[in-house]
Amino acid sequence: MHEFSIALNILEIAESTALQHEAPGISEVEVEVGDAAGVNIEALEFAWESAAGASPLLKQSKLAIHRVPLLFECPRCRHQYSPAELDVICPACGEKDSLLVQGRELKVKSVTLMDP
Amino acid sequence: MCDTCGCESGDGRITIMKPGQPGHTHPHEDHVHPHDHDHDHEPEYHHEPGHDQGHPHEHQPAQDHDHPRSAGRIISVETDVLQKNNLLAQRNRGYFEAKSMLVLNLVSSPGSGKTTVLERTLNTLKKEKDLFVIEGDQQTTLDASRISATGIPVVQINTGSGCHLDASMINMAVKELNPSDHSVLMIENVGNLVCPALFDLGENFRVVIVSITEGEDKPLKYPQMFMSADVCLINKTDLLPYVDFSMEKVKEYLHRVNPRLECFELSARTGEGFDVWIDWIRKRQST
Repeated sequence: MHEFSIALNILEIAESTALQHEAPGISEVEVEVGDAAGVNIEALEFAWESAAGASPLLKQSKLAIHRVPLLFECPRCRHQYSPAELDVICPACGEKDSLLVQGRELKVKSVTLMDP
Repeated sequence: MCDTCGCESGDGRITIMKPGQPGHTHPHEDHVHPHDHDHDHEPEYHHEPGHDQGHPHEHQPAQDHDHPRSAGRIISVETDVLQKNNLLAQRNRGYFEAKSMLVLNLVSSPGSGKTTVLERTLNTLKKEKDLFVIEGDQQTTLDASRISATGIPVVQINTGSGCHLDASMINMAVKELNPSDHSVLMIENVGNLVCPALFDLGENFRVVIVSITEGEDKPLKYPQMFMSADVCLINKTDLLPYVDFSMEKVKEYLHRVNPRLECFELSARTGEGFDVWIDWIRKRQST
């Protein structure tokens, strides 16, 4: 259920951008959600509907979610791989200490402002 | 609407209280919102780290490039969704560091024995260290009362319908608790292996507790939590003869998601294995 507080954080960032630019509303909010960010996308979409619905600036906005797949890099052989689930074991050399170089993203990329 | 949990009404209000004293609520609207009204549109980076609570206006903390388009302007934001919490967590961390405190965030699923681990840890260390506790639960002060019985100062945070503690709650609770320099603060998070993983509280170490009755596959099912932890306590080892559980397998799974995780096997009920865990704390906080 933390997706609701995630949705509200997104909302807050979008609203502050609209207010700063004196826009009458927002038509789209673009976010990046990594597969290891710990956010369930369906739950976030559901939370967004009620969160944005309560905001005069975001009532008609769309939440565009871009998933970012996992990407590990092996510190020994530099092999990069994208497993379906978190797995630090390098499929190329068997080293058990790969680093997650992509997949934790959780950020607002852009907002599209409505014309005044 | 509550910023913490998204609740619509009062039942989600955050309450902070000490055992035996009436608590006070912190509904979202009552949070203190120090802020400036500086509408400065010039800088590309405009961070205002003094904001500890939700305020839906004013400042845009990241890059902000205008790209005029006919069908509305697309504004590049590039802002971490959790930046508000992360900033406040860093403030907490700075406060703890200035006071040379050791702060541990204890996380686990409900029923893994967090509170029992905490009780035994406190009872073992209380003669040699100044200890403080923040208890997080959705409802009741049951855990705080248990901790209070050990004689350790404790503050209970009830999150209402919220599923995790966040940095602002810790900020408020620490003000109530007023911990001493060189102390150890133990934060017992809400029993939940999902949500607390995302919320930095400003702790030095995150300690995840898993009990052998939960099965070996918890690390694979809830990888974010185990990935974000520094230490794993494998609790209830006294039940090993009665449970179909492989210690080898759970450690393999733990290290598959987090090769740097330090694991300790222990039983909070019998005290078996506790000396290694207690030594770990002593090494990190030698006053």
